[in-house]
Amino acid sequence: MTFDSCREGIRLAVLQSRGDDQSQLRRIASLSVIPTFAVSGISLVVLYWYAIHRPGVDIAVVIMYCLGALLEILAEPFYNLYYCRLIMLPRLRSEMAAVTCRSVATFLAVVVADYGIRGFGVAQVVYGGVYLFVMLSHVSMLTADGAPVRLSSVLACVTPSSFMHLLKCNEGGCDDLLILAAHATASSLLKHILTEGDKIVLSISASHFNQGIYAITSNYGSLVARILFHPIEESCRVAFSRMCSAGGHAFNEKIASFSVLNRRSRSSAGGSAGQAVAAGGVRTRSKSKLTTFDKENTDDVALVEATIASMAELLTAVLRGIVLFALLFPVIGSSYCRVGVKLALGSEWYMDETVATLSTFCFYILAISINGISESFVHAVISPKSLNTFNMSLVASWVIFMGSSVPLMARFGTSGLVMANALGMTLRGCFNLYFAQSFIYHACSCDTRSLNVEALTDFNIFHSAFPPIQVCLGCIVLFIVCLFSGSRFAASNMLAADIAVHIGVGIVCGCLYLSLVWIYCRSNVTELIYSVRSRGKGHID
Amino acid sequence: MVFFNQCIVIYSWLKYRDMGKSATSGRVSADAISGAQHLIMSNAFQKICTFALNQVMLRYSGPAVFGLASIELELLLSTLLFLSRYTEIGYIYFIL
Repeated sequence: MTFDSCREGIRLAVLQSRGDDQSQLRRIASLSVIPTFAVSGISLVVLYWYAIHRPGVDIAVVIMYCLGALLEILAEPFYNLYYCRLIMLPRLRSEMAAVTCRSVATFLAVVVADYGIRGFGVAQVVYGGVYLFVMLSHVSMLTADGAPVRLSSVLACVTPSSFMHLLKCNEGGCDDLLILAAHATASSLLKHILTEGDKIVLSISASHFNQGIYAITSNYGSLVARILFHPIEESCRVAFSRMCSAGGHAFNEKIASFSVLNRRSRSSAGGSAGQAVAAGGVRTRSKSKLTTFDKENTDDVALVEATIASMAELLTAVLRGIVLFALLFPVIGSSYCRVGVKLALGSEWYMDETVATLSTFCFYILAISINGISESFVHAVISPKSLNTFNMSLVASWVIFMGSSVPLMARFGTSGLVMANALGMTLRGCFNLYFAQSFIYHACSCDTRSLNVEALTDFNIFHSAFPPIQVCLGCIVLFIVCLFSGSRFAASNMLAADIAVHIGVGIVCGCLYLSLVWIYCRSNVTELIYSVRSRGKGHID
Repeated sequence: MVFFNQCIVIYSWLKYRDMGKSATSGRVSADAISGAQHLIMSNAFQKICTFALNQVMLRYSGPAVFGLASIELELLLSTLLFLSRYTEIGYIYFIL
């Protein structure tokens, strides 16, 4: 998403800078052809590399993947033209049609025709072909100077002279765009490496078998994150951003002056009291502070107080709510992976490696949930000052993931990679929580007398997000019961009756867990449900 | 995630497109909402179908084949597309 935004931002800035419809069309078409040449050149290098260094991989499949990429890239001029004219329907239709056709083609090639790995290659070519075809079929939606654009006129733009024209168009240069292009490229490259980190590690150090186990686990595990956690994260993102906007000028100044690594930013705003908070102690307000209270700023201060109090309240409530919900997966779900794999995936996948990896993923889900919510807060309040620190934390977590993945994989197999992922994600989550806590202290370090804010200075987000001790003890008991049920009823050769009993135990344990949560954390659950429902309205009050 | 985004994009696009045509026409708004609902439903149907097909396909392909296709070759594809698209940005960088 960020990658696309950067790319499109640069394109729009350059392509729409000047000129009439025709010259704009020429610029877009000319510029968009560059990736076609690039993909051809890079494909040749890739094919050569695979032929020399990867003799185990069928070269025909690699050729098919390169061909699929080439077909997809051929649609690039049209993609850009639609984007620049804000025509979204062709893009939506092409993506939808291409994904559907790829699924059908994979099914036919792998299941019906039994092509094996070549079936996936065929499906990729089908994806590229359908994507290009649907993009081309909508070209009549484009207009230039009031007249519909024809396919031939777009293709006619792609000549050597049009490249020269493009060069002339941008003579004189623009420093801002140059810097923006460099930054966008660098950050997107970093984002690409961070996103594909696990695939890079697997491709280098794991067998295709282990890659398959990880892929299936990741597909199923990320379903939970996408379907259950993502809507909550999105609603929190919107809510925090709206709260920041409603916080007024004084609150935005707080955001701008905050730097997570610079303790002076806190102490300068809050004086000795701020330093005490930064050191982790309880904030003590000096009387001299109260006497210097500026009455003209009472409204601003009250608004800052109200904003920070409501943000902290929402963050802790949703964080605890989602932790309570995510705990279901490690506590109960991890003991049901064996049954799940047997029923959903069949005998090809039913092996200890798959079960162990999926069980480990259940614990990883907890880290994903904490990171998602805390990151939505950080994204809302992050200032340009703190952006570099935040990016550095991402890089640091990636380095730790990369560093730990190889030894963990050697020790635990595919589960080791999930453990390394969980480690990296936990570090990211911890940084986000530390950031959130520091920001709340920083925002509180103004001249206020509110009881709410005094309470916030004792605020410890790590403690607030942690479930009550009764729930934790209940989790341990339920985990042991499910584990025992799994070892008793869900051994390697389980019968239908055993599976039924095991599932029955799971349902009872689930109900007991929900009862515990309802008794001890009802307010967090209602807050979480409210935040999900508010998503439809686009806000959380 | 992509599905939710698509739904929002489809709905907003239809809504604002028709607002541009005629802000006061209730009929057009109703058509827009109906069109959005149709697109969202078809998108949901497509997701369910592809999920079911993939589920069946998984039962027939072993871990090694699926691993090669969904990890190594997917990485190859995404890197190929990334590098190709960023050549364009590099070109902009060069000509500015």
